[in-house]
Amino acid sequence: MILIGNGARHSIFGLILIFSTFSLAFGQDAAPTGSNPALAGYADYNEVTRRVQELEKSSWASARSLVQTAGGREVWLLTLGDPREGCVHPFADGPLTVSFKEPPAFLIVGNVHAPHVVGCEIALGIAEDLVAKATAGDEGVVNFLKRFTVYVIPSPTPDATEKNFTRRPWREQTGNLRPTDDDRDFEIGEDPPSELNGDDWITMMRVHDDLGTHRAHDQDPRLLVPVDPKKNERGAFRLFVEAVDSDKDGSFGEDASDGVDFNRNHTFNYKYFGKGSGPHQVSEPETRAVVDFAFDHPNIAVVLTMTPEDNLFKPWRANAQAEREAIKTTLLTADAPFTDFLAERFRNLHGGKDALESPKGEGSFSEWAYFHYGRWSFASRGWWIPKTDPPKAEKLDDDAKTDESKDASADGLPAIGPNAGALANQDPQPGARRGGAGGGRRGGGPPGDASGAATSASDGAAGSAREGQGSQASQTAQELNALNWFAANQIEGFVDWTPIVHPDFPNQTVEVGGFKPFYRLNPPAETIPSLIGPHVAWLLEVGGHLPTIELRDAKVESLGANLFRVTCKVTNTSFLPTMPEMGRVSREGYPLQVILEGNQGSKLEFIEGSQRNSISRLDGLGGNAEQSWIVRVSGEANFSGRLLVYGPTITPVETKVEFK
Amino acid sequence: MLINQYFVNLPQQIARLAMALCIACGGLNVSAQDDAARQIYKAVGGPTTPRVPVHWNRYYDYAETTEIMQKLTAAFPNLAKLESVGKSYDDREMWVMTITNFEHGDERRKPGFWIDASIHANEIQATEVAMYTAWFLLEMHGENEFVQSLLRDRVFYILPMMSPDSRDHHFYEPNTTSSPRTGLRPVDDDRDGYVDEDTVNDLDGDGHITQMRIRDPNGRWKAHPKYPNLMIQVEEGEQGEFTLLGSEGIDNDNDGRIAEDGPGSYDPNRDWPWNWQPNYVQRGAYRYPFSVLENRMMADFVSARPNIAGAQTYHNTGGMLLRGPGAKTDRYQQADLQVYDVLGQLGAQLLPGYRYMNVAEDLYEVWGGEIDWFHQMLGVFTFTNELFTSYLLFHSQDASAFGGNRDRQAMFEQYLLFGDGLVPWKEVEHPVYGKVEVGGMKKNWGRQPPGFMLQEECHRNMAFTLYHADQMPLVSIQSVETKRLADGVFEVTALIENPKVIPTHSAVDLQQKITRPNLVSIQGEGLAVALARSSSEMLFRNATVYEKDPQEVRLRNLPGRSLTYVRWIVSGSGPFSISVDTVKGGQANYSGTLE
Ligand SMILES: [Zn+2]
Repeated sequence: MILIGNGARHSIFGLILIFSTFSLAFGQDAAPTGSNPALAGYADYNEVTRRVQELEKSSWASARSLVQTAGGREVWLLTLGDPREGCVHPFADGPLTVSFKEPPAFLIVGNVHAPHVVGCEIALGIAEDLVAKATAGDEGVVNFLKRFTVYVIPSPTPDATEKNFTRRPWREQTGNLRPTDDDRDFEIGEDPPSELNGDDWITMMRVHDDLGTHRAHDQDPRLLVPVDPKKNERGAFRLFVEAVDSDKDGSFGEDASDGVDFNRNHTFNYKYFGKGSGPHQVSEPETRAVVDFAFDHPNIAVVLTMTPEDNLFKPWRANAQAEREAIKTTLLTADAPFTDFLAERFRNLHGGKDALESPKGEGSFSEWAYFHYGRWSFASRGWWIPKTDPPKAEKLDDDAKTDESKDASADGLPAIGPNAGALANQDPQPGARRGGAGGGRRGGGPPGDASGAATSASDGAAGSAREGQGSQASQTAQELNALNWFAANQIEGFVDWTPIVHPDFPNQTVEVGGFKPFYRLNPPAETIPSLIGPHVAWLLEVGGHLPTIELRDAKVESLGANLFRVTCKVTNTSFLPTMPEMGRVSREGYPLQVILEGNQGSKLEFIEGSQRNSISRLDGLGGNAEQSWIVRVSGEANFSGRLLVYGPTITPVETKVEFK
Repeated sequence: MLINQYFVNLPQQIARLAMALCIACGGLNVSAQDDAARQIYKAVGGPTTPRVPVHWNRYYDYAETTEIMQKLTAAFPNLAKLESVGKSYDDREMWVMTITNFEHGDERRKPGFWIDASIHANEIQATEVAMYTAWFLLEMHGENEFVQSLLRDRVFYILPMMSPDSRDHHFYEPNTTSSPRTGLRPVDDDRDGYVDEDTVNDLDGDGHITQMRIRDPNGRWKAHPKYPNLMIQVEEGEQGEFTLLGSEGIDNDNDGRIAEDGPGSYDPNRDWPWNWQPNYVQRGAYRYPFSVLENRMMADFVSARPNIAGAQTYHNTGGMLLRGPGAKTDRYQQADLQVYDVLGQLGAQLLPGYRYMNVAEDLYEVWGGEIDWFHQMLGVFTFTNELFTSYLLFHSQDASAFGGNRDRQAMFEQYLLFGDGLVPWKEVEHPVYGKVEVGGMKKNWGRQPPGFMLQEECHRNMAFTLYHADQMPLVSIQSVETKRLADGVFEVTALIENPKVIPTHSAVDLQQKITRPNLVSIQGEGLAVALARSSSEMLFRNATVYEKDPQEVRLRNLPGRSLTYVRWIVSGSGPFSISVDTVKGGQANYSGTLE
């Protein structure tokens, strides 16, 4: 919190900008630029644009921009499909809205979390793979693209993504270019993280303090863990993001004016007045463009989002108790069997193990797609650091440790808790564990203290890199595993603690170090191609499970006096229902329309039933709705007509009826 | 053109012509001074000879309302400014009038009061109340001290037509008193792939969507014995005359339902970000907050004016002074509720038949309503007046809130409106039902006061809103005392007052850090400020100490009806000045000399 001095008066009035809901006024981006070594081989904005344009050369793909961002970048939309040979809607020339005439669709959105650039690569890679296979005549893909449209938005928030490629010093940045007052002190961007040890990575800094909030980890002293007051542990450090306290408010790097985060700007579980969440829901042009596109395309049946909030390896859980509330916040019980099944299929195709916990969304895109848009919504992280054994050399150095702790290490479990006690006397860090009475400061660092966080500066000062949440134990296990994986793959993903002179701590030892941003969120670029295949295979399989509607048992009975009873069963023969239960509950799903009409020359008068009925939802595997009419037919001889079923997320079907 | 033949009737044409003539001759009016000289006998509480005469016993469509605003701003160039926040879906300007004494102070630094109206366009008279307020403030400025001080110290922003497209739709298309509540964006309400394909049908072509009845000796309805146009249910065992068939309409799209997909169907007052919930929770919510463009443009204008400290958003009906919150799970802080109580309780006295109420607890739950956005996200004290109440028919309480008791309403219609509020039943041919009769309440009767009551509605509601506006914070420096502590060392004490009911910062504003603190600063050539303290009482027993930047004291709040003492210890001497600078409570300055 900074209070304003005289010199800052003008910036007070500049705060109008923050509250000005829509008039975006942007200062020139003064930050130094460069090329992020952690993202070497990844497509930046220009490369994404080039690849989109390359795809457009294929007759299987078209591209357009949904909106231009404040930074002048386009939010690209790719549309894959075969409009000439795809399903022809029976009312193609009629007055139906355009999107009813387009085939049922998948919407794939990459990179909603801007530093998660691998999400863009996978989304774009899926499009490239589908187009390549269709061009090569792959029968499965050709049939898939004849039956379905695939919309791909590889990079929905390109201004935010581009910051990660070009804006030094490197840190994971989630927001767009809207100026924001991240700490709500009426000044914009007055205290960003700052580069202190000259390596261009924003990592962490630790201040030696015998009443500190963190201690070195027993197994690997490079890692810091929060002390547990309940166990009478003592700290050795206070932990901050790498920064100087520019505004002298006792907080470090708390306001870099990081902009609005696309993945925090949606309506479900929106965090008001939150960092990165924007002045209100769907405030940003790119958010509006993507959401409006979705609403304008009722033919979208399935949404796949590339994001750390994965629900394929860590499926959402239903909660019968919670779903009795009027406002739904958990996966509906009726939908769980379907999402569980499709998620399991994904895990089998993907083959990954030991997936990380998924962070909980706040205003996230993928949760919006289910809870407010009412569609099947799946989310894939795409990649995480695989389970890796500690390097052998290091194991030899571990002689001092007890067998107990070695076992724990092999399991990837952190050596805190009971195991850690055995190490008390060998701990190399002064003050890490001392006997004696409690007291002193406990976790009481000033705001901006990264208390409780991992040794990571991702996501500003918040410390949570979306590598996954979960218990402190599992977080520490992940950090140990990351160090092992770095070592095994010669990746310099960790900056060793090195002392610096810090102006805010003149008489204390301050060291900078910790995990480099990006390396735990995105794999080396050469890994990307191997991530595409499982996603494509899964999409093709899901296509096979989407509803197939048949008109069964269509019958016409003459009742005399030119009266006829017409009956049929509208039947869904596929695995998935015609919409998720959430689609029905939210009223965002589109019902099926059933029409009985006479051919030219046959005039139908509806005695019982109206010409058009709607069916709100059909279960899968034979779910059906019986339809029945009594009509009086007049006109010329050879009375005939047709029964017709349509809806935006199904392939329309019709059958002839003869009145005789 | 959409002006349907059936709706053109002669008296209205004449009224419109007369209106145009009045506006045209407005510029030729004699000045107030001349009037005084001629000793015009004045009806108190209104302007003597308005420069822009307007009849406040009738309703104005979009073009006429626009014209009145243009005439007013032309007639009062130093007091009024007209601009558009943008164009509506159907290409109408969203007019907002800024009214203040532009020759006195910077508009953007005066405490601002926001008035909007008719976001539900069928709630027609809300626009007239807002327009009357603009007219009254301008026309009375020259002859009323209270109005003069209001326009000197405050600025009013008045947006009288929040849904201009639907306002004209109500005037010129077949409607009821309750339609259209929505805007006119095409929405596929029934999700069948056709947009707006089954709207209402005005079977008798009179511009009013009334009721349908069919003669049926076994029906359960009959004509009221005293008011034959009114249908009442028959007693058990009694012979009936009619079966009622609902609103005038046809199943245009053959799906068995009548008029289920007309234009729009979203509710623009469920489109605001605070506590927004989608349509399945909150009927009428559109896609996301501010997905109704008209609201988005208005919000842009308001958000760019943090000086706005009070707001009123007029609706009908039921005679209510409503405050948030709209959802039962939501809470306003106690300190803020106390402010609402003071304002609302006085308002209920100014408006006979009106009650001061909370939306969630006393009416129904509203998620994503405009007043919650104003209060919870901007920190602005806001009321919705639900205009008109059946109490006013006979100045006595009526058990039911909306429309009131039907017998009372029918009696009023017969003996005070002389039958002008109803369409008598007449026979028409219905494509499905055959011969039916249509008739019932006209669209301009029910929620709206009749002409002879309109001006009083305008005036009383305005009076409450002007009281609300007058109670916005207004800071002043009541006194400054200096005391010599030693050679060249002084103690300077400023007493800062906010005599109004509303604080500079609502409790929610302080909690969410919406508005920057108030700045109280001392300046002088060669003056060094060593320390500052502030306190709510003269003995400084509960002082806050400012060591950092003591020359500029940041006061988080100047509460309603409060005094705040600020004391500096300075070294140096000579002339000095003290300034109080607030976002929502105006500014105050003082100059003195230290010796
Ligand atoms: Zn209303």
